[in-house]
Order: sequence, then C-alpha cells, then structure tokens
Amino acid sequence: MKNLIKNKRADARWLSPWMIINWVLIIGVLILISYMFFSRQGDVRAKESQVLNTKLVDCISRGFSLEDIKKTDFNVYNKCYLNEDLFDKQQIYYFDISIEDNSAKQVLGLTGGVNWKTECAYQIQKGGTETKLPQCQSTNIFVKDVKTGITYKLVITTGSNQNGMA
Amino acid sequence: MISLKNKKAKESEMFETILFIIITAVLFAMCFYYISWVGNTNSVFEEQYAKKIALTIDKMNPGSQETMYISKLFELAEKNNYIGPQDNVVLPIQNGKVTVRTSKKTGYSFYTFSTIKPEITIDKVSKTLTIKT
Repeated sequence: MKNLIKNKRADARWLSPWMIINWVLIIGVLILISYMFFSRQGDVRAKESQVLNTKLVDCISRGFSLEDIKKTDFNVYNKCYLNEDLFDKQQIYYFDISIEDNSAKQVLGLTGGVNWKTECAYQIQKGGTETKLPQCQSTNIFVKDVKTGITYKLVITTGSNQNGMA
Repeated sequence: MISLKNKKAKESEMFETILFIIITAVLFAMCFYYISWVGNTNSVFEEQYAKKIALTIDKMNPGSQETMYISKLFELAEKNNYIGPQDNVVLPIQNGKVTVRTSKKTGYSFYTFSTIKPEITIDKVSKTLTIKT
C-alpha cells in the first residue's frame, strides 16, 4: 500500500479525493474554531445576569420593609425599573427573590420570567460552563427591616438568555 | 539507466514537496484571511457596541451619565457611505432595543432590561456617545 502511494504521481497523491476531503475537514475545523471564538466573545449573558442581580439587590435592600413588599400594589418591575415584557413575554430574563427569616424559612417569594430555578442551580454549580443553558447569578445578603428592625436573608437569583438580533 | 530513474524519482519527490508546501501555504493564508475578515466585519463591531451600550444602560440609575468612544463605528459608517436617520450610527431606543448600524444592509439590536428612558446624544466631532438617564 505504501509503495502504491509512493509510486503515484505527486499531484495524484496530494490532490486525490481523500486528500481533498482531508483539506476540507481541516478548513472546516479552523472555521468552526474561529466562529466559536467570536461567538463566545460576544456572549454577555453572564454579565447581564450579574448586572440584573446587582440592580435587584440594590433596589430591594435599599429601605427594605417586608410590610411594603407584602402589599398587593408592590410591583418589583416598577420599583426596580425593569421591563416586564422581556421577563414574561419575551422570556429572556429571569429573577427569583426569596426573603427568609432567621430560621431559614421563606416568608415571601417573588419571581419573574420563565422559571429557570433548576437550570440556574445547575449552571451555578457548573460555574457557568453550560452554554446551552441561561447564565445565572445568585447573591445572599442580610437586610434589616427599616420598620421592625428584624433581620432577613435575601436570596436573589437572576438569569439571562438573550442572544441578540442581527 | 538507474541513475536516470533515480533522478526522475527525486524530481517527482521535489515536485510533490513543493506542491504540498504551496497547498498548505494557500490554505493557511485563506484561513488567516477568513479569521481576520470575520473579526473585522461590520457585524462584529455592531454586535460589540450594541451589547456594550445596552449593558451600560442596564447598569445606570436615574440621574446618571456615561460617555463612550464610538470612533470605530464612525470609521465603518464612513467606509460604507452610510448615513442613517439623523446621521446616527446608534439608533434611538425602540421597544427596549438598542440598535447599532454602520451600513444600510447590516445592523444589530440588543435588548436593555431597564425601563429608564435614556437620552442618547452623539458628538460627531469628538466621536463620543453620551447616555443620560
């Protein structure tokens, strides 16, 4: 077999159908790598999720009052300047706010967008490596109720799955 | 006779090596050209800036101001002879979308989750974009 190849004409050896397939495959892999590199660079979902998380932490913890949050007219979208459509209709963002007392019992929960609780828990556990799942961020902080002085634990999880439109 | 055969074989081997080097060089040149082309197309910069602007708006609180340089967008728009609405490369936010356009055919939109309506001004002299909330 070796001799057979060796005895072939040079152009016949390098330009044989098998070699052409080989070259096409090499080019394909290089194009794929560059495409993956550029698309990975453009993925800002983790950053978005982080910004959303910071915004919610800041907005909920500032002047925190459980009594006010429990009121029926409390709207997290209005209070934190969030576009409700993008959470509930477009479903590209998600948040979950859990308010817990000192016995770790949830006293109130607020959610927005599609429920990505499981996806976010998995993504956070994997360190954000799952590209097909939304990118998430979770923060735990303790806040003091400005009216009662009781300390509560806030667990805020946010997620983004926006890919943009060309 | 044998030496003639050997000469022919050596020539063939040399030809083979040269052909191989040429093919490899052409392929690598094509790949480098492709990668640099992908990295320098309008769409890459439109995407980058649309995301950057949207993230900046998302971060901002009411009553704040941010300025960023967008000279690359002007450079691309000039290259593409693009004159957008009010000569803007960054279009006014519509339905929560930030749109960046540097040619008639291309453009990239990215949502901002913030409902704060920012005032976007573009200074063509300093090639900067100012966002006021």
